[in-house]
Amino acid sequence: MSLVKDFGLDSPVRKAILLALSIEDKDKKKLMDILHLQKVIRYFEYLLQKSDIDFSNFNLGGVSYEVTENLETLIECDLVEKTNHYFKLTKDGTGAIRELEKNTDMTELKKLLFAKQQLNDLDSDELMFFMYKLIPKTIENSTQFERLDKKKEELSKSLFLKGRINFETAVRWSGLTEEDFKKHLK
Amino acid sequence: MKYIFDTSSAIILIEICKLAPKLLEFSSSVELIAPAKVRDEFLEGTSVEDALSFQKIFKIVSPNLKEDLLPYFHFDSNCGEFWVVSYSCENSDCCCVIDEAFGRERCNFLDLKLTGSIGIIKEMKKIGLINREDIRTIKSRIKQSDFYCTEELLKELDS
Repeated sequence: MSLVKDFGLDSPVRKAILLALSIEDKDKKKLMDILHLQKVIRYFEYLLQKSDIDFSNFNLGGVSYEVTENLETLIECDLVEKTNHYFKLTKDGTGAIRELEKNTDMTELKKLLFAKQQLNDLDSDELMFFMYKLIPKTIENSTQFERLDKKKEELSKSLFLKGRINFETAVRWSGLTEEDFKKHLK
Repeated sequence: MKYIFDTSSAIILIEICKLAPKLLEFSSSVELIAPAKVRDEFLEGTSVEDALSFQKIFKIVSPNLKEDLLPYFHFDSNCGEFWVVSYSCENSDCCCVIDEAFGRERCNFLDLKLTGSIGIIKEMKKIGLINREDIRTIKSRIKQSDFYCTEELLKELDS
């Protein structure tokens, strides 16, 4: 019996969801809420420069109905469980990971780990701002970007100090001059 | 030991801490390296005197840029840290000298040897190139500069 074959877990979206939930973030946490899960998978696709999973630009930026629908299926299959607003793997889900990892390219797995470590400890505003600025087309139908853009100095500073963007990017995203951004850091 | 420097670390040590003569001495016992990209960034906004010092202190290298690492640098091949990391990946005995968290995070993720400008000052202190009086001056210069450095990190210079 193969969980991967039985539940079609080798589809890019199901594989990405399960593997993302199996990896620890910087704080050694595996739990993810829906916003972080969506953005980690979107960032993962950005790192791979692939578009295996269908994403559209909605209110909260790049989000995927494919991710949401498949997540619901994985919950119905008892591979993922939801507690409060967080998702985690069940015992069966964890069992499927071993099989999935064997069939996954290590460089891809490393990029998924990087994506989770870069994003899962950010708060929602930092996370959305990072993704909007990194992939500007996701601003298209955003209901959040205008609000976040008003906080761009603070958000750029915190992303810089957390090592998610370099100095040049932080200056550009903050809208400040290099000198003013340095003063802002003090 | 070999050290490969990112631009901001070279700026901190040469421009802010005024350690060019000490670094030159230090370079006789260890190899201090800078990628061509870092040299260009440093020379762009520095004095003639510091530019000359930089060229005496550092051996300039043109690393094979590792395209497979580009995603971790958001596909920006002009990023100095990308050049430093590319070199270090092919020279495992070489330690990256990076102060900004962005480059440090990537070094840690890729399991590369890593230190910062404070680490280099500590190394120079260890071999007697820098004394306690120098440390006081260095700390004061760092505090007066726009270089972001925590008190905790500065305290490490006293140990």
